Amino acid sequence: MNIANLSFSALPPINVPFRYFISAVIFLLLTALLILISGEKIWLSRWQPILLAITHLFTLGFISMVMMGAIYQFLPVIGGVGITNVRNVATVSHCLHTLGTLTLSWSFIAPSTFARVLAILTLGIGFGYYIFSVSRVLIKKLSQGPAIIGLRLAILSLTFVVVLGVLFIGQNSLMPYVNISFFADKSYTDIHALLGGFGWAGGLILAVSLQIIPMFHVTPSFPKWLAKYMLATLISLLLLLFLFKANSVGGQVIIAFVLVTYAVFNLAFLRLFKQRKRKVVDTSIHFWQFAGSSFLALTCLYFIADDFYQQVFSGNKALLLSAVFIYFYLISIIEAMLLKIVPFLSYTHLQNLCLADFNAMSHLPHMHDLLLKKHSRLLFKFHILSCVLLILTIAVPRFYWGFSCAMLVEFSWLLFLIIRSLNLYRRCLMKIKNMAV
Amino acid sequence: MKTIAVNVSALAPPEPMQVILSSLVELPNGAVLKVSHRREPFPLYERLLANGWLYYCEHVSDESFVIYIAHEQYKAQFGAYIDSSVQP
Repeated sequence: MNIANLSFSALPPINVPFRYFISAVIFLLLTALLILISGEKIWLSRWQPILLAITHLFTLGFISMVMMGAIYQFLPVIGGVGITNVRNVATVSHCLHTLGTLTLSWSFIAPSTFARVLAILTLGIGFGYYIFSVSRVLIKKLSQGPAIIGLRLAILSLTFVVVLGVLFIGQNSLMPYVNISFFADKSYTDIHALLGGFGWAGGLILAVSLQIIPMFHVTPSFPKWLAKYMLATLISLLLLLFLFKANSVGGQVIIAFVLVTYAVFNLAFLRLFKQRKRKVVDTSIHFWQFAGSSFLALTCLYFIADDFYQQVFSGNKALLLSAVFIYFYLISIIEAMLLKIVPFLSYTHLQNLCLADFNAMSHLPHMHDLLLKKHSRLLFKFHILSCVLLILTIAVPRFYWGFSCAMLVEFSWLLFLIIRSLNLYRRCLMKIKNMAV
Repeated sequence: MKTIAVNVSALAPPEPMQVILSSLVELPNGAVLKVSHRREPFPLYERLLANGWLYYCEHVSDESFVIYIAHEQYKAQFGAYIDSSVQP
C-alpha cells in the first residue's frame, strides 16, 4: 500500500513564476520603445543589428522568460517533483537572464567587447544554471509520460541554442584563442533560430499542450501517436540541419518537413477545441485558434514563390515568416497560456491555504474575478490590431510607429492584468492571514 | 468505512480542487472520500499530507485515476479499507 510518506517538493512560491511573467512583459514594452525610436530603416532586412536586438528581446526577453518561469510550475504539476532550492535557482538565473538579454541587445546596437563578454557570462551562467537545475529533475525517473519526455527534448534543444548563441557572441572575442571562424557561416544562424523556434519554444509548447489543453479546456486527449512520436521526429529533423546547410536543397526540404510536421500538431489542437463537450466561450481558446490558423497560413506562405515576396514585401520572405512565427504564433500561444496561468496560480495558492483551515474558503475570490473575461477579450482585440500593424509595417515600413504604439497598448494592458491579479491575490491572502491570527 | 464519491474528471482547474475541498469539509467522521479524476493531482497530495490527511491513488488507466482520501486519525481503518477494497 502506498499511503503518504511520499516526499514532494513544494509548489514554487508565487513570486517565482510571476517575476518571470512581469519582467517578460516589461521587456516587450522596452522592445516597443526601441521600435518607435529606431525608425523605418530597421525593417529592410532581418540582419539589421537593431532588428537582431529586437528579435532577441522578443525571444530571450519575452518568449523564453515566460516559458522558463512557467516550467517552475509545470514540473511539480506534471511530474510531481519540483526544482530543489527553487528560490535560489530562480533568483540567480532570472537576474542573469535579465541582465544578459539587456547586454546582448546593447551589444547589437552598440558593439563593444565589454558588452559581448558580459552577455556571454550572464547568459552562459544564467541559462547554464537553469538548465542544470531543471535537468536534475528531468533525469529522475518521473512518470514517463510524453509531456515529460517532450520537456526533456525541449530542454535539450535549449542547450544547443544557448551553446550556439554563446559561440556566436564570442566569435570576435574568442577568435584569438579558439578557431571558431566556421561560425561565420550563416547556416549556423539558421540552425540557432530554427532550433530555438521549433525545438525549444515550439517543442515546449507541444510538450506542455499534451497536458494543459485537455486539462484546462476539458478536451479529448491528443492522439497517442502524436504525443509519442511528433516531438522526437521534429527534433531529429532539426538536428539533421547540422549535416545539410539550411539554404541547400536538402536543408530546404528538411525545413519544409519541419513546417508540415508542426502544422499537423496545430491541426490536431484546432480539432481538439472543436471536440469540446462544454463549449464555454473562452478568450484563451481564441488566442490558440488564432495561433494555430496563423501557423497553417505560415506553412502555406513558405511554399509561395519568391515573386510574391518581391512584389509585396520587398523580398523580405525570411523576415515576414519569422515575424508571423514569433508574433502571430508564439506570442499568441504565450498570451493564451498567461490568461489561464495567471488567475489559476493566484487562485490555487489561496486555495491551498484552505486545506489547513476550511474557514478560509469564505475569503476565496471567484477565479474569474482574478482575470475578468471582458479584460481578456480586450487583450485579444489589442493583439489582433498589433498583428495587422506588424504585417503592414513589413510591407510599408513607414507605418512602424503604428505597430510600436499598438504593442505599447497591448503589453501595458497585459502588465495591468497580471498586476491586478497579483494585487487581488495579496488582498485575499491578507484576509486569510488576519483570520488565522 | 463509509465512502463518499465525487467525480471531477470532466471539470477544468481549479474546479476539481473546489469540489474536493467542499467534500472534505462535509466528510463525516471516519469516512473516505473517493475522487474520480482524469489525471494524478500531484500538488494536492502535498497539501493533503501537510494538513493531516492520507491518500491512496489507484491508477486505473492513462486518463483515469481514483484517489481515496481520509483523515490521518483513521490511519489503521484506512489501511484496512484500501487493502480490502482496492488491492486485488
